[in-house]
Amino acid sequence: MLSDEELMLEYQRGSRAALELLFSRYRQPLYAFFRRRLSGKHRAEDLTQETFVALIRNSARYEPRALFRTYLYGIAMNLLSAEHRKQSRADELDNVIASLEDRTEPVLWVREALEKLAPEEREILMLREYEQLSYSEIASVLRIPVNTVRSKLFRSRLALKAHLEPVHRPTARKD
Amino acid sequence: MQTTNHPVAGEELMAYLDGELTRDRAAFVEDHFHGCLECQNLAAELHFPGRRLAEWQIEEASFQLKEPLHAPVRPRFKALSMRSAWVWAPAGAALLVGVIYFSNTRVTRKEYQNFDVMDSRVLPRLSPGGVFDRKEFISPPGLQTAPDSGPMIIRTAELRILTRSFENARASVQQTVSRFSGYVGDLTVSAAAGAPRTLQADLRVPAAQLDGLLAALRGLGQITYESQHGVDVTKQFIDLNARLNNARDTEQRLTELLRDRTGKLSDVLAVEEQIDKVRGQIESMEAGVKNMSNQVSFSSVDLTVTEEYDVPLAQPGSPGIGARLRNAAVEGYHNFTGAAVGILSWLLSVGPVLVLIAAILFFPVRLIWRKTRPRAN
Repeated sequence: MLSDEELMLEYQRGSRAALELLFSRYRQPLYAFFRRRLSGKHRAEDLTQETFVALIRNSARYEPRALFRTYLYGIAMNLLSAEHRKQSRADELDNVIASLEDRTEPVLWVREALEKLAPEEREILMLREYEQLSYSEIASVLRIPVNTVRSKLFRSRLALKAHLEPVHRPTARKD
Repeated sequence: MQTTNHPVAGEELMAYLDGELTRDRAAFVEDHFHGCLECQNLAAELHFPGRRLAEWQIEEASFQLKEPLHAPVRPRFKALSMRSAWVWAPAGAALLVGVIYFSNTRVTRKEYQNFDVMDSRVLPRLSPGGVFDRKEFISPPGLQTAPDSGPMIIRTAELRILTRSFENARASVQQTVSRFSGYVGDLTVSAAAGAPRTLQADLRVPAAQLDGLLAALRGLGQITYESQHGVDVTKQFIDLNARLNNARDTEQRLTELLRDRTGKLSDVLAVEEQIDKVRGQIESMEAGVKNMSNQVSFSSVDLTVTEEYDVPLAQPGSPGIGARLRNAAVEGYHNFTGAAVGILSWLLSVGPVLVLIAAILFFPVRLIWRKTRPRAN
């Protein structure tokens, strides 16, 4: 089985199938990446598509100096930042709908606990726990030192535990 | 919390659990970990958030990579050049011919880049509420689009006419408007004494009939003022319809959410509140669309017809010369008595005060006067 980097090089050489295989590998992870950070699944679909479009447009410049995954999430992070900047009032209603759609009990507590973290710590934690990037990959995507990733990840895990713990304690109350 | 003399720091333990340590260091930490309760407790604390975060699962993505997304096409030199024996026989000439051939047929990066994959014709960009493989998207009923014949223009005109035969003009206005399939919106006739009669009317007529109506109205008398205006509202109309579309789509999604989901009362109330809000927006926009459509369909004419008026020598109802002189004399008497009464009133009001002041000042003034007046020899 070809690695991501090999597939990307195959695509550079003209293999459309290589791109489709990359898409099938990363469609769900990228979609989940955007879905957890934005309100509304349609926008998550859009941005997933846009990530691949950006990948195609820059495919000529791709060089396998780093992991393909790091490169792809770097593009995704840039698109996410741009999306946050242009998030307008028109999306407010979509946010209401999306938050209501997601309002199952466990997800609600997790999301609320994550919201209490500092933005960079939250992002580091999510990239580690959900996207399962390594410390160096996270450092590369966020453009921060590896030691910063390590210390903030440590803090964010303990902070999240503290935010979640009061809910986790069993109570005598019966449902 | 770990003590400062602990051989493994909390962050390092975390890195070990995450598989981020070098092999040697990981071995050291592992040896320590198995015998250290404090580190084991910390490990449990560090694992806890991960288990809770895993509860947040995302639904499966089902969309496909949109067509067309061409890969850069390059000739496969190895595949074409090595298989056939005819490529190498005769070796020198055939190889040269093949290289020239492949160079001419190569699709360059520039040709590929002319096909812009970000072009919305290729990869439809979504706006909120737009369509992307969504089967449930249906164009809402009654969506009004700009007419194919051209832009949407709201036309208005103002016309002021001076006429000798006011009554005929008034009757003609009603008939003329009806002849051009229009109607009179507002009509006011004023006829003050000693002033020309005036008719003011707001006429509405189908846009295509505006020129005909204006030509007919010009025949009512002398034109003293005429103006026409046209406002292009095509863009506003299209924008308003697009927003209306989005709002209807949002309402539909909210309604489905309310129907399909069960949950806390507060959630239900929140959705109902949003539905009310969106419904209000929809109704407002529908009214706007209707109003704009009406204004485009029916042009308006602000018409003023003024009677050509000859002022009479003697104003009707005005008094004669004798009466006017008598009126003037009476007015003079009234002025005289009024002034006399006024002066007397003033004296009565300030008189007592003046007397008091005079009484107070009389003796001092007299004394001073006696001392200062020159003595007679």
